[in-house]
Amino acid sequence: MRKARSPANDVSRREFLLRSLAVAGGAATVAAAARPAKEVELIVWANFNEIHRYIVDLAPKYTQQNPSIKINCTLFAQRALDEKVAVALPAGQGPDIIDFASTQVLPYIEYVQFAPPDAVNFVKKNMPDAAFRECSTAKGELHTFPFYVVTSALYYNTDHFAEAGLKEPPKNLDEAAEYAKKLAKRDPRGNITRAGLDLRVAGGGFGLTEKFWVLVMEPNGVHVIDQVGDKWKAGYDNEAGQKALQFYIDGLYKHKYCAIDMKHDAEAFGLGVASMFCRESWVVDYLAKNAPTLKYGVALQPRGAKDWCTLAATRGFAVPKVSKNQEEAWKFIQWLVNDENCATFFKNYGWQPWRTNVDYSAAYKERPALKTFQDGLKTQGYRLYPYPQTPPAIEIYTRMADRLAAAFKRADLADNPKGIAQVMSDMAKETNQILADNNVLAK
Amino acid sequence: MTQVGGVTIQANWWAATLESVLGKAGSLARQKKVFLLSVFVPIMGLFLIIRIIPIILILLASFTNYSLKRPVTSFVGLNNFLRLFDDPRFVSGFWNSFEFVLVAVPLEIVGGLAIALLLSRKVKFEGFYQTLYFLPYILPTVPTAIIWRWIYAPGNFGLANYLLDSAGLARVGWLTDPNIALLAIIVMHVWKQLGFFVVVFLVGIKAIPAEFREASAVDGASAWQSVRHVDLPLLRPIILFGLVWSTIFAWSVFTEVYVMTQGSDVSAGSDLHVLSTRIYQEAFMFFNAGYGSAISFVLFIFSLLFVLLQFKALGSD
Repeated sequence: MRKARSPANDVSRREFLLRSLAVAGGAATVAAAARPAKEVELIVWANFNEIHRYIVDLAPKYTQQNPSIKINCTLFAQRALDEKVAVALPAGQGPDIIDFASTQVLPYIEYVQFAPPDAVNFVKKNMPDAAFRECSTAKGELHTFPFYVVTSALYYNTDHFAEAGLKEPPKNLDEAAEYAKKLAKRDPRGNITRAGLDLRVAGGGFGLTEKFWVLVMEPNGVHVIDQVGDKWKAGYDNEAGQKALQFYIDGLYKHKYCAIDMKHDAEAFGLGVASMFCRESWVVDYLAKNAPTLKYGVALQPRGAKDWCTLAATRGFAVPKVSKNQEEAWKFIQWLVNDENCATFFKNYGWQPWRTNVDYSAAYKERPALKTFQDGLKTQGYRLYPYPQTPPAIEIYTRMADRLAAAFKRADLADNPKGIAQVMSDMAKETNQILADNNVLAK
Repeated sequence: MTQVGGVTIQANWWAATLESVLGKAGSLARQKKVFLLSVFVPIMGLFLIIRIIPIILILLASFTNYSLKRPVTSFVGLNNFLRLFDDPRFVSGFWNSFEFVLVAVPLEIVGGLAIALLLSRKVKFEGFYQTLYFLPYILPTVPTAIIWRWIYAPGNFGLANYLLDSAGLARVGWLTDPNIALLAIIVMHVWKQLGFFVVVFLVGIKAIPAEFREASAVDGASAWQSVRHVDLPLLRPIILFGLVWSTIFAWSVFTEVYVMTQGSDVSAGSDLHVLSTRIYQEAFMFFNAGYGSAISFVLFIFSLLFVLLQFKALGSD
């Protein structure tokens, strides 16, 4: 006998099935929402010790805010990262984030993911135009998320200046050379014991060329490579280029305010055996740790005959296409450059963030020398220029470094304009050959 | 049946072939051969994979424009080899490597032999000396090279110049003077490797039966005559081994040169490049693997030539 159907349980079989499905679907949704989010490990390849430290120090905080995301950051020496990237990306391997110079990304542009709209908007809203220009393609796609900028400034030892009766840092290169002559010291045998202006005359890699370019080429209106349409050619095989080399040779062998065979660079400045030298903001952190009693000031780069300017080489983050966690990677990158983290980065790690709309007063209070670097990004008439945006740029600078290092050792180039012209001409031939090998040589 | 018969015929053929190569099944000769093959085949296979095949691949790559950054590789014939002649860095690197071999090898062999001959006589504190000369060899190369870079530091910041200063002598640009820099690195290399050759020669000298020296002493030979006419001829195979080893080390020197030319005080420049640092620069800095392979092949050929010459000179009695 069939049971009578009451209005309350008067449900057809179809209705019953539909309701059951709805209940099951709802339960599944609730269960999915309650289930912990997918665990993601973001792999980061860092290239600079400071960046590695920065990410490792901040990672626990990020994981605390985003419990499903773990950060795994590995530090590679500069050349080692170049090798790793060159082998990994074309083979379809790679991390989620690479700490890279924007120029380093260029040979691998087909393997990196362009930034999503929110990241692009963040850069446009919070950083100077120069940052976006240097990190984007001709079509305006952002290939590297700009983080910090490598600009150069003149460090000068205030005690040495007082001793030599100098009150202000030099305003131009001629003045810098005059000051250097007064500041240099020699022992009774004629060995230079203190360089008036430390010239970067040695060192492997492209850094040597970079320092030469920044100090004496660009300010005198000379480019390493000139852009002609979408191609390039050597820009220094000319009188201005020869004068740039002349400046170094005179400093080493004529005015003798610097020498090959002595300590150089930040170490020399920290030891008090160099009165002036040009370097980036990281030296402030280095000096605080290694020469805490040193009294020094920092000024914008000296003017040249044609320009007042500094290199603004951007370092940032690239996300390879092979990353399976691109969304998480871009979010993490934007978090790394928020107001609080940028202020911490500048104060504690020494490199200069591209963001100019952040309150860095805490950093300036502790390390006043840092202010000059941020001022440089905003000073009227002080031009910021990037590395040439062409894939063989680093190779060109590196090979030039070899030739420049050899030229700096040649005392016979003093008062020898023909010899200097020959050096520049030979070097330019090689530069053009590299451009030709990469199919970007302008006719 | 025919099919089965066919298979049987094939199996018989294998069995016959195996028997002709290895000997009869169950025989002692076959067991010995199987044992030898089982020992040698894996080793030879590995040797083929990690030595012979890479050499062949490098030779093949040297005829291409292979670059790690370029997805397409094309055949360029002898272009990479012809380019070597116009490359001043290759030329200077080659001559620097050549100089390295010419200076380092005799210093290591003659120095190692002299010390070994002295220590082979009864010497007090022999254990102490053994530790002393072998210590540099067992130290890792990178930290050792860094320490030597400090010793050679410019100005009076390095020990070497500090000592010169203290003695009232002029300072030397150990790693900055083009005439000195390579020799300074050779000195470090010889200091590091010498202990190895002392041990090799000492083992060789101790293997010479004492009767030979005693007989020469009875015949009235002086110590030098005993060395000249007894020790050296009997040590010839060991000297050949040392020469070959030292030559290969010297042609392929990399770590010392690379580490000692890093930093802002010293520049690798063309003064200090050797062939192996040029290979590294081309293949791993600029990723021109094709051109880097051509340099590698030249290095291989010259190392081989030197070794063959040494075998020719010392290899047969």
